[in-house]
Amino acid sequence: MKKQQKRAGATRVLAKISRETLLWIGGAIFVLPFLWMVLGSFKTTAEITRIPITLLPEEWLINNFVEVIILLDVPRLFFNSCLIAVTATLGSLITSAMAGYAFAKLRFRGSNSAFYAIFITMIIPYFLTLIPSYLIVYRLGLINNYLAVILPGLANSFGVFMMRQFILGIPNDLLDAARIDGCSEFRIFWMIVLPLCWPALATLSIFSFMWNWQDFLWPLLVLPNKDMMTLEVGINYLQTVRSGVINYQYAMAGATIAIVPVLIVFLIMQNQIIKGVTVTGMKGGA
Amino acid sequence: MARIALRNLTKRFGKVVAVNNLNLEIADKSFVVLVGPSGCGKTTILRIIAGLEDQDEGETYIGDKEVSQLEPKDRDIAMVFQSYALYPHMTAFDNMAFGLRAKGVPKKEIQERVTEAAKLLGIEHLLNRKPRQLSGGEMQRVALGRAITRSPKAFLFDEPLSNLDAKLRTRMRGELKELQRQLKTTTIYVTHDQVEAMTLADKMAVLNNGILQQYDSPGEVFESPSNTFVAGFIGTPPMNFIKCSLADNTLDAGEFVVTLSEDLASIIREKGKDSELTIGVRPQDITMAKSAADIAAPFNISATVVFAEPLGTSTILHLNVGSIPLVMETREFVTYDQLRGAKLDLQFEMDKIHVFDKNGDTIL
Repeated sequence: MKKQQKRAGATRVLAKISRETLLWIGGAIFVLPFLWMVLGSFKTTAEITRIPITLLPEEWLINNFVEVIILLDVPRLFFNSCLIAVTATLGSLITSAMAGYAFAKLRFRGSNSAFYAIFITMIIPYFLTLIPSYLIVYRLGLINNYLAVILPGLANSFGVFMMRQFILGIPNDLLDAARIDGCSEFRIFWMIVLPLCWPALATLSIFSFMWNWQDFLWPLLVLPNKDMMTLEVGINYLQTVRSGVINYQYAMAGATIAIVPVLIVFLIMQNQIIKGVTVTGMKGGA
Repeated sequence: MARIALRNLTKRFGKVVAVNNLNLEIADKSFVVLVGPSGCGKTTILRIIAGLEDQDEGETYIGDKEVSQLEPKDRDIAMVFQSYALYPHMTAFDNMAFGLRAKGVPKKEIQERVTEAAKLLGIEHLLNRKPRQLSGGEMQRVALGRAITRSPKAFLFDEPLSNLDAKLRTRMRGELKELQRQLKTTTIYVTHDQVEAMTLADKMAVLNNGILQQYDSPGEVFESPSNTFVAGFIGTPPMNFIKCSLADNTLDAGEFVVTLSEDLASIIREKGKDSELTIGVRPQDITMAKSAADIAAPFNISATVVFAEPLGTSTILHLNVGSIPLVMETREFVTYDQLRGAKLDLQFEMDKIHVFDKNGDTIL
């Protein structure tokens, strides 16, 4: 009996060790690139590209960060990225919530068809709409204008979908009670529906913020001016900033600076994000 | 406080006629119960009065105003839902104040009205709690409080006690009735529970398939049901229905006959035309012979006990008279074993029986 128990105990310990090892390996695979980037921001380009690879820098070159801040107007770019990400996020929250409420709770002809039409646009790849969107923005005269990035970001088919699904779960009795209590439809939306949606809103805001902050291609196309660029686009310029030779140290330093806000948002909201990923099964993206 | 009138009200959902040409007058300050089985249209009627549904035909009057075109908030009514529908993110106080705030009532008055309602319902100590911190009964009272603070022209209750346990339900029934008497507000109450209807109503509207079957006081509905549906729906255990036909002065049910007086027989002959009649007799109106001396007419119904349900104060006996099933209730308490298979002689209390014609309408 004792031998059996001992064997069972040993198996359990073995299982635990192999589980932990796998998790550590998985974690390392994800963390390593970031670690490489952060450490690389303190090295010289030569050191970064050297083989064999060294992990820790020989000398901690804080000067890299200083150079980046001189070369790029980091505060300005940071402000640009912030303005765009925050405004687009707030805008898409409002439009998604309002559309979601309309589709979920208000009865009107064509509501199903309209919803499916919006839903299907989620399938269209990002790159297909790039050129038509650029042409529209150009003809509106919005190149080098913040609105070029904010306006398209306001309508979010994923957001509408998510809010509609969530709001469907709000009991109709609650809305009827509010109607009898004397609320206009807008007041119902504002005072009853929105407060009850806050988990969905929080998740959506995180996804939206992170997407808008890291978006590279679209801001590159429509905000080419040096003082209108977003931070992500600006970092890209760091690569070729000195005599055409690819300059990794500045790029890495810039990227490290750019990742800081996202990291902060994540650390504060990590519970919500994990809940959001498991609930929606998506990593985010409009 | 106002009377409510429904004229020729019809509502269809696709092909289904949920409410069929309903005409109903509800007197000011009265407590009217809409009762009927699931799907009979009672909740639809309530929602039409509230303005949450539009009628297809007909008119709705609250007070003297025709209100079909008015939004729910302009009809000055308050509703209590089966699920209470309390706003989960607000405290009990805010829930009760919500309607007043929406109408722009000054803060001080809101405070007064909410506290007054809370005192009436005994929930002052719960005002700062959120719904998830309240029990079912407490949530029920907050929902009531929300309706009371509005001081509406009428209360609309949609099966408000269904989610409570049996004991609480019984207590709340009494409190509701007393509350309505104190507040003197017209009340329309929807339920599928005929006991609730009988105990609460000043007048009952019995509905089936969207059609009004009878609209009377509970006593009248019980004593003089207008058709077999009402007769069978109200009263526990339900009334026994036995098919029979008229032969001279007796009602012949095949297995047994019931002797009638001349007058009764002629009334039936006039109205019912002899055949395809139904006798209705409540389980409480059947008596059994207790001693050999009684066994003579009129105890002429020989029945065999199939099984018995002893309830403590009474026993419900399920019997067969030949092939005709019968249920009776007797005050004598006997055990199952004593009675199983026993043969009994029964009679109906003649002044309590009902006779229905082939359409199910009452003749007697």
